[in-house]
Amino acid sequence: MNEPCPYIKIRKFFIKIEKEEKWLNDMSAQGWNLLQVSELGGYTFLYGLTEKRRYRIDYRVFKNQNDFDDYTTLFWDSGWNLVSGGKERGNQYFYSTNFEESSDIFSDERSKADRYMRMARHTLAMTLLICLPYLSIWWTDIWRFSLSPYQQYQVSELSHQTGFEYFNTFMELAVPLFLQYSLCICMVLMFLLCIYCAIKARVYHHRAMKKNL
Amino acid sequence: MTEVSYYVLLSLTKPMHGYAIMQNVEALSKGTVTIAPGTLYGILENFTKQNLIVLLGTSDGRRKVYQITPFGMEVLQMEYDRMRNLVQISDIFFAGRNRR
Repeated sequence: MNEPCPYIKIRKFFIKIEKEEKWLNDMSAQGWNLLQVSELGGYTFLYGLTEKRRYRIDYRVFKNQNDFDDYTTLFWDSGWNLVSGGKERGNQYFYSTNFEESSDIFSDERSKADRYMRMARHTLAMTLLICLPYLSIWWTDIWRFSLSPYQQYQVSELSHQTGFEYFNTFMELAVPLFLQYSLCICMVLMFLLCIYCAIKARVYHHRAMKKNL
Repeated sequence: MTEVSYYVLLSLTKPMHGYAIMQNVEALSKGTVTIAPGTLYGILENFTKQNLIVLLGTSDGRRKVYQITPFGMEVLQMEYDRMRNLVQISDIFFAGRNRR
């Protein structure tokens, strides 16, 4: 077989895990099977596998490789093969070739709730982890939060300078401003994601309570 | 404790690894209760945190083997007593009901 197998790369971002699973299964129905997932949301698909695959996604992070191997072996024993994932990656992608309509890696609603709780917790931890280096580089500029961008511009006396001094002062003004606003936007988005995951976890928890599981 | 968790704890009165627990539960319940791997992994994690089971080691280096702890046995006994009590009360209730 010397023909190269056709493959495509698609960049997509998902918040709802169920939507992501459905998309992967739809792609598989059309003949495109998942090969790899990159951290930045790039999905690589390969065309032409004859077997039918059902994809499911878990969210879990591990402290060491032994724990991860035990986890993937348990799934492998039960017929779920790992496509893409890692001990720190979070999203673990599995497929099964021997499945029914309702085949899933979870058999009750409570474990689905726990999956979203793990997402919420880890997103929160990552948010704080990203803030720390930002703040440690930037803590001497914290006073800028009390001034608007225009006031910061006035304080820097940029308009009184020329040539190299102008460039210097401009950078000293622009870089902290950029950090200030990008940090705020990032933090807000991350917190929103946390809250969304926590809400979804509650929804599944209520479903579990209703079924009395 | 949920039905599935109880089955898992009951299985671990003997040392067992993950997939063996899944098969054991299916056999014990005659096929009516099946556990999926994601759910089982979460149960084993929680039980370990609550000290109901303990990690013995790995069989062939890749599969972790667990067993119930003495505290786990106590909890299992308590659950059994609780369920037996419920069944005894229900026996009386349904016997009385079916006589009418």
